[in-house]
Amino acid sequence: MTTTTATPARSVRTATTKARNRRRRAAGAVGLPALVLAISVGIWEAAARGGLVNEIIVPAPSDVAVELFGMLDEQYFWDATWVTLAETLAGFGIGVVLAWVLGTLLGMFGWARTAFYPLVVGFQITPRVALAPLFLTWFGFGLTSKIVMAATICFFPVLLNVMVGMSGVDPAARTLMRSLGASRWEEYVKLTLPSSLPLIFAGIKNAITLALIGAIVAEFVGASRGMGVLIKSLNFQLNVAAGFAVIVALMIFGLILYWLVELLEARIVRWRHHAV
Amino acid sequence: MSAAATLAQDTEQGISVRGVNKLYDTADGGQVQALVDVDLDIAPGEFVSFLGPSGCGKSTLLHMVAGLLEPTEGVIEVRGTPAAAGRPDLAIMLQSPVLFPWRSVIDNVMLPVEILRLDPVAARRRAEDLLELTHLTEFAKKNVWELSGGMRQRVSLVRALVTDPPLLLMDEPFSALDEFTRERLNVELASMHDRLGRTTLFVTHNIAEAVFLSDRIVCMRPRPGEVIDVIDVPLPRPRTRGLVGAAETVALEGRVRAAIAEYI
Repeated sequence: MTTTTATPARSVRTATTKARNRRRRAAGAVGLPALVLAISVGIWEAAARGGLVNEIIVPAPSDVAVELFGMLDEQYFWDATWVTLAETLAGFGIGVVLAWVLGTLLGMFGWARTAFYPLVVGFQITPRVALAPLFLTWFGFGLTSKIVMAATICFFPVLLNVMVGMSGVDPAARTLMRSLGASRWEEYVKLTLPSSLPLIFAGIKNAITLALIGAIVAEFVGASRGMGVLIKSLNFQLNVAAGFAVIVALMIFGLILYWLVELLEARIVRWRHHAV
Repeated sequence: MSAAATLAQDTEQGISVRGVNKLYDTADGGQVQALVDVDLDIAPGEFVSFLGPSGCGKSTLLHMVAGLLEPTEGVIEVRGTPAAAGRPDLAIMLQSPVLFPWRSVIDNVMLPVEILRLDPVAARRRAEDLLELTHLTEFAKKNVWELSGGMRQRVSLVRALVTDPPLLLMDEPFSALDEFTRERLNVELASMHDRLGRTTLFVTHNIAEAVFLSDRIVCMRPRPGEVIDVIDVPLPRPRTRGLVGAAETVALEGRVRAAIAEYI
């Protein structure tokens, strides 16, 4: 603090050096993964073009790209996209809210934890994908069964992280709140909730990727619309390049959803990289 | 007003500990005696240290005065009413600063004001004065992770003082800090006490710290937790940096060490 004000010339130089280092690091953070990606795609392209693998089974990346750009003009692609995104987001929202509420109750009341926790764990151990045919029977061919599947699959990581977050609150902070005579509600709002937010967000980030998986799996099991349906029918037609294109699109949408949650996290949990 | 009346009023405004025992249940189903028969009167404005090794029950006693623990036996009265948590006339400062990273420095300081529902305008002004007094004014809007360990503990002190409590309890507040920071904060604390004169109970296992800060030192021993001696500290006030390591201070430290040593 004092040294920087005492020698401004040096502090300026340090600042520019720092900025340069930061730029260099940022370039590395983007450049290195880009290089790895380019090399991987290059090898794949060469393998497919050189006849190392059958192009009908593993199409060249350039063919996939052509298919993908072609699809962007097609109404059927966007219809499928909106259906799958709607299922994913609805399932994600329902799953997160239910898990948050139940996790808070389990975290707050010992008797509730004793009563429900074994049930919840049993439910988690059951492969949720195995429930997809059942959901189809119960909720039909439409969006509902997919939303239920997405909600079910993203429920548990949020629930668990809400509970772990609540039990991880600094005991000294609880003592402080108690010494001030804080009510249970005040303690939750002013201490427990904010203190568990980093863990809750870790669960939510997990949940958004799982919700997409849930929606696609449920579409595979039985649906008339959506990206899962599109992938299946393109594969049946042996149009594997187009199938890959839909998968790449799914990856991009998944990344965007994940990135949006991260953005929200960075805005809310500003202290996440700082131990206090 | 007669001398007797003044004295009666004084005990009413201070802290009285009468026949206090504390038993803890242990994990194996037994019980452990944390404190045995503690009797103590603390006058308003007095700075009293509780000194002893780990396990002597000094923190337990402090937590009972704060109303965070119930005595198994006996009565603790704080300013004429039974000890209880959530009273605005008492503040406790813990060993760790316990600052919330989702709040700025000033918002951390204002936490007790929110929970105790005190006048936010007056408290805000007091908070700013206290931050000034502890050289933290320019950090008021900062995030707590930007502060050093010593600064965090000063914020914790300001948060304890923001309600302007006549009683301040401190549970080894500087023990996690390095020696130099601790000494500086002790000098600051002494000068604040000299200026504001609030009743302070200070738990520590550091003899020099206890001598420098206190009017009286309650010496304790462990297993079972017991008061073995109460030593007056006749050092002059104001307590300034010059007293640290001065001959009279060192002599008193020797006396306190001797008093405790024969029990340990």
